[in-house]
This record gives sequence, structure tokens and C-alpha cells, in this order.
Amino acid sequence: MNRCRFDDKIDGYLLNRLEGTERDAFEEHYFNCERCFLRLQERDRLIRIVKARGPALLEAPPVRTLLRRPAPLAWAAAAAGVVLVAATLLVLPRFGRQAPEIVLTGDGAVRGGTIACVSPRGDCPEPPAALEWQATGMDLEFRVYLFRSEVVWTRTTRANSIELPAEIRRRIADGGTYEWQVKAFSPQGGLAALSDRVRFQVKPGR
Amino acid sequence: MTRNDEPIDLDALVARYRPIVGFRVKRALGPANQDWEDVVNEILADVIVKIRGGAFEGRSSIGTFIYTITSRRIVDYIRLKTKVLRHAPEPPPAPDPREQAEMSENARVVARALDRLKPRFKEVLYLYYFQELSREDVARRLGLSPRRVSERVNYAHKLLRRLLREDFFHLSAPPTTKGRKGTGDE
Repeated sequence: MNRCRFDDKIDGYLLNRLEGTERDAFEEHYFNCERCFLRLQERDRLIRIVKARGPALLEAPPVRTLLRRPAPLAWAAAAAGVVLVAATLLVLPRFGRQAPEIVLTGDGAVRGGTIACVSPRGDCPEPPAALEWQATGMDLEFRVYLFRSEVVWTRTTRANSIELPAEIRRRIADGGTYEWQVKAFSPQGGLAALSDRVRFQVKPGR
Repeated sequence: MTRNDEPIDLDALVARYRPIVGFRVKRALGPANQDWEDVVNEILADVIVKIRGGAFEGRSSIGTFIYTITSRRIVDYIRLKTKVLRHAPEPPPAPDPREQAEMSENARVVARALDRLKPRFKEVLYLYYFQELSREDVARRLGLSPRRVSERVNYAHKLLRRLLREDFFHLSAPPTTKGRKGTGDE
């Protein structure tokens, strides 16, 4: 289907950003354009659901295969897989920001999802109080790394957020560019998932 | 009569415009207002009367004609309601169980599709629709350009439509029979 010139108005209308004649013109338009009305209904339904789900939207659905009990002989294969992947990550140069997607099951390493870093991201008006990432609903241990070209701070937690100590917050306030990353480990100690490295910077007044 | 002097199929017209008028009315009156269905019926009845009476001369499109009637009727309703509520406040309206059931089934289907999206698409939908940030603010939060944010939102919509189609076909596919494949000669 070709684009309609009112396509860009749909979100604005549903989020009550259109006013006066612009709003009236769009309302009249969808009485005349079947395509726009279908898109409008579709988008309205989506927005209602996103609003109803809220932050839960960012939680990962259960990954059923992640913690399946491995067969005894599969341990050796899984361990070899971890060593090989870890060696590859250390040896290969980094290509942009691509984080490898790794989920370990009893059968070895397979491709899976990354962890999404929720906040901080991009410009921040003040030093963030905590680092927060999407919850997985799984029994995992998270190791969090804060970088400024190299690791400046690291901690481990089972929650999906961690408070930054005061001295780190003071350091971040210098306005430099920092990155952070989360790695998830299974109870057996295997690397289960990683996030991308996410960049942020304190810029007061934003 | 239409602009080309063809007779208007009023049944088809009502079927086509009922959801559109309904959407507009519900949005104006609020989704919890139980009067919306009555208002829609009044509007459509008015449309039929006017068309039969020759009021639609084809100077505008039929959509614009119905839009105008709808807008006027909404204004009349709100004026009347404001007058009434000044004197006697209404109890809160009860939810329509039929509509709730339909909405919750639709919501389940869309929620399932949303769960299947990758985190980067869920993030942008969350910031754009739940937090209602502008495209520029979403871009700042994610370290992206505003154009990239728009691309991601549009792509998320595309993926959702595809997932919903897949869901629909999966749920409505006829049950497979056991045994050998059909040859088409059966």
C-alpha cells in the first residue's frame, strides 16, 4: 500500500498532540481514507496495550530452554563452548557495538537474546543514581561493568538494577562519556547473556 | 445519490461508517461513557434521513458529509450533558462486558506479538507510547538520531503486523490429519 500524506499524523492524533484545524483535518481525513482508519485502529489498540503493560513491556518473556538440566556428558561440550567463545571475544577486535548473543543450554552455546539496558542512556541531566536493565525472570547473577575506556567499577547482583556508590556518581558528574554493560551468568557459572555497551554522559540542564 | 448520480447503498454505507463514527464518538465522549452507542445510532439515523431527503448533493465526499453530521452531534451531546451534570452528577458508568471481552482477546493477541519483538523495538515503543516522549527526546535517551527513532518505530509496527498475521493464520489453520500427506486427489 502507498503511503498517505496523513500517515505521520496518526501518532500525534492518538497522543493528543494535534490541535485545532490540524486535528479537525485529520479527523475528516479518516472518514474518507480507509487505509488511514485501519492504521488508526491498529495503532490505537497498540498504544492502549503499551500503556497497560507499562515497564513490564521491557521484561523478557521466559526463556524456557535456558536452565534445562544438562545431561552429564553435555557438560564437557558446554564447557568447551564457553572457553571457545570467551577466547574468541578476547582475541577478535571489537566491531562497533555488536554484542554477541549467547545463551547456554545443556546442548552447548546457541544464539539467543541480549539484555536490554534501560537507563541511563544518552544524555543525562544529572549523575544517575542506579543502573537498570530489563528483568529476565530467571535465576541469574548479573555482573555490571562501568567503563571509561577501561573498567572503572564493577559489581555483582541478582536484581535487575544496582545503585551507584556516591564516589562513582561524583566521578560521573565530570561530564565525560561513560559506557556500561551487563553480563548474566547461570547458577552453574556459565555466561548466559550480555547486553550491548551503552553510552551515557552527564549534561546538566537537559 | 453519489456525485456520479448512482444510488447510495445505505446498508453498505452504515456498515462501512459505523466503526468510523463509533471511533470518533468514543474518542470524544470517553471510552467509559455508555451513551456512545446511542449517539452513534442517532448519527447514522440522521445520515440516512438526510440522504433520503436529498440533503447530500455530492458537493463534498460522503465521508466529509458524515464527518460533519458526526461532529455537530458530538458538540450537541457534550453541551446537553454539561447542562445536566451541573444539576445532578452521574454515577460512574459500568464497563460493557461484551466490549471488555473483545478488547481483552484483542489485547492478548497484540500483547503476544509485542512479547516477540526484540528489546530495541520494545524500548522505543515504551519510550514513545508509554512515556509519551517526543521523537527527539527518545533519540536523546537512546543515543540515536530522531530519524533512526522514527525508522525503528515504523519497523516495529511492520513487525507487529507480520506477527499478528502469522498468529491469525496459525490460529485459524485447519487441523492437520494424521498419516500420509494428501495428494490432492482425495
